[in-house]
Amino acid sequence: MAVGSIASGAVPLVIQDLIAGFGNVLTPFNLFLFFIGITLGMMSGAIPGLNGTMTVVLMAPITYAMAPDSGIMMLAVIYAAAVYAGSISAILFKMPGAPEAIMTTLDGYPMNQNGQLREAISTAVFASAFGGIVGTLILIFFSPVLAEFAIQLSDPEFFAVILLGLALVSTIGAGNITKATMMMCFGLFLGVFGVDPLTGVPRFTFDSNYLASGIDFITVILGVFAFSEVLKQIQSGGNLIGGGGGEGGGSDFSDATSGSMFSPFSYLKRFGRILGVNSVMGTIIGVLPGAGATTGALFGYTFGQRLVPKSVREKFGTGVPEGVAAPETANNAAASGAFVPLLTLGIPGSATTAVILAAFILHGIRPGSSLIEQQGPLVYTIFAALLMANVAILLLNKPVVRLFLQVRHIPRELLLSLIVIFTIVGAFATRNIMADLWTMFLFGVAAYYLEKYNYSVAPMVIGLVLGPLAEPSLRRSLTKAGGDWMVFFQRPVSAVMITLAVLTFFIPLIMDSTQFGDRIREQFGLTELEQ
Amino acid sequence: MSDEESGIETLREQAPPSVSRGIGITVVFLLFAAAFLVLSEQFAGNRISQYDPGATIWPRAALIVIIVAGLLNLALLYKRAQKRSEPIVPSFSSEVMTLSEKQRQYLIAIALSVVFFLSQDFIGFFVSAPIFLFAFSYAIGYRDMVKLTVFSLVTGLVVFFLFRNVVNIALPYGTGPFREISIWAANLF
Repeated sequence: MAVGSIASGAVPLVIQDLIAGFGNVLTPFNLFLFFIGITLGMMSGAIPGLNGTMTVVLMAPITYAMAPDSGIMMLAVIYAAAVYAGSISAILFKMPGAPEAIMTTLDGYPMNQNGQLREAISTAVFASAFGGIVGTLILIFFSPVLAEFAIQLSDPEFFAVILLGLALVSTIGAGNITKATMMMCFGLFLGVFGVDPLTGVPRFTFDSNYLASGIDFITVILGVFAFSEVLKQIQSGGNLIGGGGGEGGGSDFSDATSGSMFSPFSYLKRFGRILGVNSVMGTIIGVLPGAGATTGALFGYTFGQRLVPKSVREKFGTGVPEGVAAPETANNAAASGAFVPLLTLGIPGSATTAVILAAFILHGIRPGSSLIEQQGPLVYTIFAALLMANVAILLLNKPVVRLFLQVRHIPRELLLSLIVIFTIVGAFATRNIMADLWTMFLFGVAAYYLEKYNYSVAPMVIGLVLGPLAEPSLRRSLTKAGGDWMVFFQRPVSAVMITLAVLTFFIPLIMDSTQFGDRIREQFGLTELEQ
Repeated sequence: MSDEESGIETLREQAPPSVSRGIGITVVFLLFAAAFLVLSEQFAGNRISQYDPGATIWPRAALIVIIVAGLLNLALLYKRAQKRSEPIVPSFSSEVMTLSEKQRQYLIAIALSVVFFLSQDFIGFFVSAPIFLFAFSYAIGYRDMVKLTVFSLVTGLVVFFLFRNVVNIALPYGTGPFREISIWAANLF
């Protein structure tokens, strides 16, 4: 009744339901569970090897002993907190605590190295909370509309969206687009190892059981971001936590642990366009079944690049706050968006919401079009808890940051050893496969040398994440259309997306490899940025 | 100096002295792509229907773009090397190469990691992790032996119990007596 009535303009009823939801969360037992959820979510998000999905899996059976609204509310809070907390270790150690924080490492860690730790964390907190709150509000007020939109999208649109994402990605951190394209396609190719998603036939497995299960992207992420950074720090003699009076300038640790409890609200103005666009786009990406918060972060970063002035865009990847705000807004919004197909269609939008779906079923509740009508109090308790979780992220930021900043007192050598052991355990824990350690190691060493010679590894990781989503959509589209490639241009959304993707990809590529491009680069003094 | 200028200056400092290694890396990618392009032929017949483009379309598309982008990149690198009069093929000094302290630490760190990975099947995580943490930290320069010993033991134990007992992920137990020790430790809590 509640959400269904939105269409007929009965918004106050939604507000009433929401207030009732808040009332339910604020009962002593639920409030206790809420804080347990926040703590577990932040821990699991910040420690590599653990992640929100894993924690939700572990906690799901425990919720069986609770009332459905209490148990599922706690799982939702864990998810929301974990998505935010992944940014902490990404900024501090270049080690994404959760896959959703991949893109945050690109600018968050360089900011830390440049002595802007406080600003990096404040930006991450504010953007995360903003994205999460907007995403949840969209979830509350527009679930039915979004669900209808999502159900109309089919494989051609999904493929077109991913293709546009890949085209946008080809310019990430790249003075040289040909190199970025090469790396991105290498990532796409890595994603084809294993079993062909449509026929189930092994592909490039060379009779290896390990390759048959494919190359796990979390293992690769740990190698290329964390392990390679440790190698770099050993070679350079640098510090993981920057700003300690080194070349990067003065430290801002004191600011990170004192002063206002909140991130500066001036960020609303400073990152206004990024916050506005990415929170809406992130939610929409989260709504797409199978996309999830990681994809949201990938798109958010590339959208962010296009929303800032050229002078800032060129510095993306070198440590700009906009590069932290963009993915953090989008991934938290996407985390909320992923609840739309779950609650309205019974289709999980991400791995974690798939586990939450299992928790619903465990409690004898089947999410779907009638869920909000039949289980209004439960649904609005979840909505209220998601809103409160994002507010809690803002409030609990200082103590959490203070706790994590204690690591600066750990001697550099011990800290590097800690990072290595967590990287190793994280790589193993994902699938309990020993060979993943070797994969992590090989990618770590390779990434160290690739980065050294200005071959950015971020496009490779993004290719590896998006490739396995794109291929089945492409092939299913063509199969359903009788092999007609025009299927991508016969549907308006996919036609626009594909056209944009082609333009986005080829214009910079032509610019990069022609005399016209050379003239432009010389005119803008970009030649020195490229290698 | 403006922020932008200092950013460019930093990138200049990070830039490699020669494009030869960049060319080398691109050539490796080209060879990799060419080899797998040939191998992809074996999956040409794998399709779910006559309209399915098959299991080769996606890998082939990726590999072909790698080759095209790689060739473009080679041309760009060659052109820029010529502009700067840099050697395409690196020149090798006849002097005996000596490793700096940092390079030695880097190589030892890699070697220790390899030994640690190899030891997992035999020694297991419980026994090998403290040894690895001790050796790794020592190799990269930490010298306070008492703190190092405490750090290695405590960290190894905490990680083992955190994953084994809290999140129910059994880290490798090893074989023989090491397995017995690991199982005994896991059952302590």
